[in-house]
Amino acid sequence: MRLLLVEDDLTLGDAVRAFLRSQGHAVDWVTNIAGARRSAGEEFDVILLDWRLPDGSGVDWLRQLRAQRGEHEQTPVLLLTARDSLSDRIEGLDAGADDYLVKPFQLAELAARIRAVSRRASGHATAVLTRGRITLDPAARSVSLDRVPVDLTAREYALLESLMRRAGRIVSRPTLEELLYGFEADVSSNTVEVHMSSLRRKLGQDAIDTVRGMGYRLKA
Amino acid sequence: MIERARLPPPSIRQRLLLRALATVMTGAVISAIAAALAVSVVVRAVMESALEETGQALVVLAEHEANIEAIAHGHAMPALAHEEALLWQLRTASGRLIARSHSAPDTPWPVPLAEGHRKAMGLAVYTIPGQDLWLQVAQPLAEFQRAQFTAAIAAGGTVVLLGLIATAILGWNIRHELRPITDFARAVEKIGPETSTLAPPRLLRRELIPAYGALEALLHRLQAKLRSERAFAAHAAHSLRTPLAGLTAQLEVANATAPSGLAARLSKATDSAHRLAGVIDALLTMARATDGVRWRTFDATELATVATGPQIEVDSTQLSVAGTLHGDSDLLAVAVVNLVDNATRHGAHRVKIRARQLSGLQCIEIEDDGPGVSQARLAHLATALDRFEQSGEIDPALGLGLTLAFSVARAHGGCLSLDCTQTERRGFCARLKWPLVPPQEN
Repeated sequence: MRLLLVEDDLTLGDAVRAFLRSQGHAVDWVTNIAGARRSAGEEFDVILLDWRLPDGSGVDWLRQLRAQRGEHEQTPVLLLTARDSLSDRIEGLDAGADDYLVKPFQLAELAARIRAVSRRASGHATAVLTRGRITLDPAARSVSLDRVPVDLTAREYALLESLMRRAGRIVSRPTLEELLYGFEADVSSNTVEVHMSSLRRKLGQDAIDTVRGMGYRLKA
Repeated sequence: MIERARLPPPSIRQRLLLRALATVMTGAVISAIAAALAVSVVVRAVMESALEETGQALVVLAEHEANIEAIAHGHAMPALAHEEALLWQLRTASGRLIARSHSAPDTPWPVPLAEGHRKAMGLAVYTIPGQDLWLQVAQPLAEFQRAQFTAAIAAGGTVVLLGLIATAILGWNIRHELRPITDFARAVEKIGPETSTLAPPRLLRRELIPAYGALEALLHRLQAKLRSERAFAAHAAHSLRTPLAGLTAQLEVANATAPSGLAARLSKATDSAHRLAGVIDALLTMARATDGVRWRTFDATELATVATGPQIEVDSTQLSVAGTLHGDSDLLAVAVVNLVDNATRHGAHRVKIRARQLSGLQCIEIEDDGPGVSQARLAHLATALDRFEQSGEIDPALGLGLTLAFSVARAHGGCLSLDCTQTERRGFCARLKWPLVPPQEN
């Protein structure tokens, strides 16, 4: 998944980013609302948002984000905050957050909540994503084809998860490239094609469609 | 322990009423006596004057009647039998009785023939000279006394009655004039932890304006202080939790890639960091519990979301029995979380959380299926809670969880009771009870 982390504490942000990358996610990390505003134009699977930021309230920015994009805005937002009161939780959730995690938290719980909000946002009732013959278990980070486990690299897994979460929809090439930036600083022009080719080899040539000029789509 | 009965202090209103009643009634009684005496003297003077006037009229008539001696011969004048209030005797200068009224005696009254008032034989006698004769008119003294008594009673009673009416009016006025003070006392009584301003009084008096002003200023200062303390607590929470979150996250990440020897040490460091986080949470909650309770009505099932833990099965289905609860939902939630955490740490695998309302009390019950504690240990915990309430001394046996739950209960004007049945499916049970309404509203 491609995640936007908005966290001003450098120690925490660094650890969360390292952990989430180790989990196969691409993480864009910004430390203030200005950075979040700049990044918000891009497509993310989940936004991890701190409440108190140096240049304002994360919750206020979230309200603006929800108000600007209206009901079509579906990017799930997970609030990461030190504010633990019930009234704060209610305020955060009412502002448009999809979940709320009080600091300090365990990284495993953070990963589970990211999976949960992402699952809900993509309309999947179960934790395991299934599309045709392909099954992807985000918690176990495993993929199987006709119930036979398939070995994928972290990059391949990230691309496949992104396609499966948007199953039936076209995922643009820049979006997939952004996803790969989480793993390597320099993404060349054919990096996505290389990984797609590898995925087709492992999952079947007809598993992923290329929509010329637009992007890729997982076949039904 | 025998509690010594203490009488309430006297009421200003009652004391003022009693003093006013005593003053007015003392004045009324003195005035009544004075009025009765004055009226009595006046009545006697009026009656004597009437006797004189009667005598003067009769003596003139008697002297014009030349045959009066021949008619009477010392006997009573002819008349029908009747009750006679005015008696008279007509006597010669030598004292011989020549005529008398129907009820007058047939012997002369033992009164010398000299003009003026005398008393004799229970009569008030007035003697008046004519040209040749002396007339003596008399009235029974009892008539005088009855008239004097009746007039005195009427005058005195009227004064006393006026005194009573004056007392009643004075009492009403006292109550009315004391109402601003009563209102002020009630306004002060209603001041709660969240009161920032006093309700405007129905009746304001100049003398109370400084007191109202001073109290308003005090409340504003207190609220400012509370806001500042809450802001500090929020700031402290952020300042402590965020670096702690960074520390624990860094430890977890390092642990994932560390060699086995180092990983064990990092795990211990991570556990310590998590415990430290728990301690910070508990301390902040205890600080807030003593800071004041923010009462609100909330759905009891809200507590289910905060109580869910990864290491224990939480059955919160019976929270809905209570419907709504009234109290500080944040503090109560933290108390519940800590009691559930206590159960986890003491070997329970399952907890049941119930909420209910019974006879003016609200109750949250957390019962686990752990091994529980012995009755001796339970008694020790109860004693430790008592000691904490009396002196603030924290017994290590209580731990932060029970201390915190107890502080939350006390902040709500309630209590925490502990129970342990040690049956197959039931272990330790903590009950947090508190009143339906804040203590100061009772």
